[in-house]
Amino acid sequence: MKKLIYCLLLIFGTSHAQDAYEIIKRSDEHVRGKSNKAEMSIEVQRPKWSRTMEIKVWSLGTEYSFILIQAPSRDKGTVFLKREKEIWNWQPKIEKIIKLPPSMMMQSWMGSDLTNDDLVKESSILSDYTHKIIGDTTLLNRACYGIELTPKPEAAVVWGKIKTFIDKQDYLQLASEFYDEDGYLINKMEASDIKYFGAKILPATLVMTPVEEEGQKTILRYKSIEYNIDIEESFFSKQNMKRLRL
Amino acid sequence: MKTTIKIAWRNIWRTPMRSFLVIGSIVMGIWAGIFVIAFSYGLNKQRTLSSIKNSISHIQIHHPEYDKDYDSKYFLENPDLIKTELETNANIKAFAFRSLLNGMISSPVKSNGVRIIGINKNQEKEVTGIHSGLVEGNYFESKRKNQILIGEALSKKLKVKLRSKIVLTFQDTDNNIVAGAFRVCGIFKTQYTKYDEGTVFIQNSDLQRLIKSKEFHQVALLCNSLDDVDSTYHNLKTNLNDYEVKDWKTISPELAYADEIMETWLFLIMIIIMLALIFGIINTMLMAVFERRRELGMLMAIGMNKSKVFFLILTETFFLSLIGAPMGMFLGALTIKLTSETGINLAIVGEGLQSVGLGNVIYPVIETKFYIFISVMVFIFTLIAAIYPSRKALKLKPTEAIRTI
Amino acid sequence: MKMIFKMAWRNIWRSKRRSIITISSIFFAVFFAVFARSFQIGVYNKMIANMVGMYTGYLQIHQNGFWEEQSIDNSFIPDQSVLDLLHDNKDITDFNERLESFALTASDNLTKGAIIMGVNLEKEDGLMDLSPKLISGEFPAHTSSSLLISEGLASYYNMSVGDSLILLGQGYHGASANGIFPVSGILKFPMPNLNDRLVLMPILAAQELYAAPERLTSLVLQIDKPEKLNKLKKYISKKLDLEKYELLDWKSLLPELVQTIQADSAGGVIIIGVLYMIISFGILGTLLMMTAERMREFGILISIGMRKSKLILTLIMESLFMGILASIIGISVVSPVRYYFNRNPIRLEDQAAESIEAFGFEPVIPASLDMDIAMNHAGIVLLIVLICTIYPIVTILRLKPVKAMRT
Repeated sequence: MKKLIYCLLLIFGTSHAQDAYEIIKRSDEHVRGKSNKAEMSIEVQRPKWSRTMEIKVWSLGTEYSFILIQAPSRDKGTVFLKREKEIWNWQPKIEKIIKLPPSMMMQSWMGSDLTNDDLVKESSILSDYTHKIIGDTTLLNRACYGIELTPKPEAAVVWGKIKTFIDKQDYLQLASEFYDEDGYLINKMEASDIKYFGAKILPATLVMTPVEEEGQKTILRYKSIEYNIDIEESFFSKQNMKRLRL
Repeated sequence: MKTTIKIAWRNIWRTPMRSFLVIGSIVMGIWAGIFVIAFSYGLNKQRTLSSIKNSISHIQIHHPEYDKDYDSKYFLENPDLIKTELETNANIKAFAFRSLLNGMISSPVKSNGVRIIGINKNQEKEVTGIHSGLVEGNYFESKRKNQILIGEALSKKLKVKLRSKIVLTFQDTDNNIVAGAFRVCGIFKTQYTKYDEGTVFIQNSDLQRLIKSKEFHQVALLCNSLDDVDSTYHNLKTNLNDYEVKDWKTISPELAYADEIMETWLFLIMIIIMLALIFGIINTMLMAVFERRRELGMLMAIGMNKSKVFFLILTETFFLSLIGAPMGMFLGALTIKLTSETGINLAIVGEGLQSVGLGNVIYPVIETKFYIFISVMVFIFTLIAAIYPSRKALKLKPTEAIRTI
Repeated sequence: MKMIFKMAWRNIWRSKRRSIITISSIFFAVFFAVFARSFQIGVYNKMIANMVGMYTGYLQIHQNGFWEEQSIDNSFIPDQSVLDLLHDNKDITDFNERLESFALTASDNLTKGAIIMGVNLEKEDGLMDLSPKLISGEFPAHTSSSLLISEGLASYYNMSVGDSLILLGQGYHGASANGIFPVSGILKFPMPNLNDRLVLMPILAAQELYAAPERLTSLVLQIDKPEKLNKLKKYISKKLDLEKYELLDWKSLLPELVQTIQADSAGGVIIIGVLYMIISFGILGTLLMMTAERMREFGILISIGMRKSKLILTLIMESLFMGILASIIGISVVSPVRYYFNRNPIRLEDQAAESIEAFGFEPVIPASLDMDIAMNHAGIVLLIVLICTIYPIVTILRLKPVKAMRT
């Protein structure tokens, strides 16, 4: 009898974990596609000021991406190239390609609440955590899975746990909460403005809020996204950094 | 002549208080001289030992290019060769291999640039004092992997505490970025806040596992005693000439010359103390001479000539010094012996001191030659000091002296 | 009461010889104590001047909160009232505007983090003594955007005058800061922590780089009389809007220096303590002898009816008079001596001197002219005199008049 119960638990337990992992994987792939190109604005809000950047992004899987800054004029023409774990930077004023050292990785990207590291380590959400479904919620009038991510013991992530909410219908990540190990909520990500970009449905607005700081936010607004465009790894080269069109 | 000497000797015992004062001054002078010198040398030695223990060690070994640019690519090639060399040298008490990297440390709320020092905890314990500078937690006691020691100032900046998780990010030799999660097992505090903010310690085994190679950048070693350093240093320079070997004097020349710098200072202070002593004695003796003017006047009236009176007072002083000098030396030696064992804790004088480890306690130390030197100096100065009062005594008018109240 | 005064005063001059001896022993005490302590303090002040002159200056004005969080977002534009305040004050010889931040420097394949100081180069030359440190090239003009880099940086990049250096960083309010700048000169700093990673540029160019027009991170005040620092600080704090600005002196800017001096001071205090033991003994000796000499006089006074308490009071008064007189003379005599050693400090020799010069410091032991030292130690000596007076007081209390008269 005991053995039977144990086996049943094992099956359901495992399948639950698999479900959670599957859900996240689907959500991740939905957003990523194999490759994509997007135009968006990033608004950085601070208690005493705010700033908006217009950028264009190309990416291939999780390993390669280009970020080109279109506005404001001061930063126009700046390019970031990510190849695997390295980031390169090109400034039209300087006309030289510079590789960013690890010390830059932890600093905020262009003054926002994202770090350079955030740009590099996107894939870790699957491999660095164990996933568990914790219940359902409703966000933006959609039923969502609530999933709790617990970092694996050796994972190089600072969080104690992450809760993410993925809508059941389209597998959109609608919200995420980042907690430290004492259970304090440190960062919050909220999505909204769900609409169609071509054939794909996605939230057009993402708001990143460091909860313990007053009046601070970073808001990403997607203007256009194209999926599965025709680009290859060779496109993401240092030489191309100079040639990207605005 | 002989009579004068006899009178001088008896005079001393006749007026105990006066004699006591002069003897006291001499004893004080010698004691002070010995103490100040011993204390100053002890102070210097303390600083040197403290610096050696807490930061620079006796000798350090690096890659020859390491000094120009503290880049982790300049690691020690063939560390086993070095290890064998050090193990076979009988003068070396302990050595510690270290990996040194620059990287970032992150907590959920903040990141900071840090110097990462990878240590072998057993080796390091024998060479430096960080294991005793912990204000919280323990020194890598747990068998768990990826433990880290951070400074108190850094823990405050990152808003983390014992057992908190942090992420270290750095580069491996191929310039790839490596990151690892570590748990705070201990928090240390030194007297330098900047150091506490910017330095973290992890175990070599953890570091090498993350960068996937066994690299060391530095070896620090301690000899059996400070005196062994010179010979060991030259030995290692010859045998390990592919590497850069430096002794503590090269690393911190200001420590090496601390003694010389202090000697100028000491000279100044000793002059001041001696002058204070001389004037003190002159004054005391002047008082004594006038207090005795009736007696001296009497002596001159009954026929003792002036030069004999002069000689009398000088002889008295001579005897007093003869008594005082050995007492002074004895007291000085006793003080040094006692304090060199228990040490003098500076905390009694400076409330604001918060040094870790050896910084607070001074062990006075003095070379024997100084005992003689000081005593002879005080002896001579006392005699010189006695000249002026003695001459004043000669100016007494016997007839007036007898009549005084 | 008045009578006691008179008596004490007359007693002193009654026996000039005795009084002169007593006064001189107190005088020497004051002289030597102040003299010794002046050297100790002189060395500390020299250390402070050296460290302060290297970079921080004695006093800085920032935006309130800047020191806690040193980011360019905490820069400020100083009000005209503040500038006027600084202009009008005679103790402030100049004030330097600085815009300081960090940046990643880069050239070809190498990168290195560095401190970027946007400064007024002429004024900074006055504070940091830059001219002798220039080992090649020249100072950029106020309106140019050329850089001075530290020697460590130059050798890291194998750069010389005329090459260009890339700066990448974060500007004001999130703007990015980047540019490529020609190197017009190379500076060599004795301290490795500065020599390895310092870039100086004209402040206008820095403000342009960091998108922070007219903004400063600090105003560094140049003071030619460090003794006046505390007074100056108090004066400025009263006139400054402390909600908006913060005023920090070198103690807050260089806490390690404070700790080093404190640690050293403890040893110094013990040595002065030993000196005091000797001079106290000297004073005690003088008073002891004086008491013995006057036993007869005391005996007579008591036996003709003077109350012991009055006599004691008289004696205390005498000690005070002599003490104060001696202190005044002592301070007057020691001051020119201190002045001499302040202008002509004791020099260290040979290798000892070299090891200090390696830091860019002068290897000297100067005497401090601080009046506080004189006052404090004169006060301590007076205290010692009063304590030593206890001996004669006790003697009088125990006095048996008849016996005393027979001495």
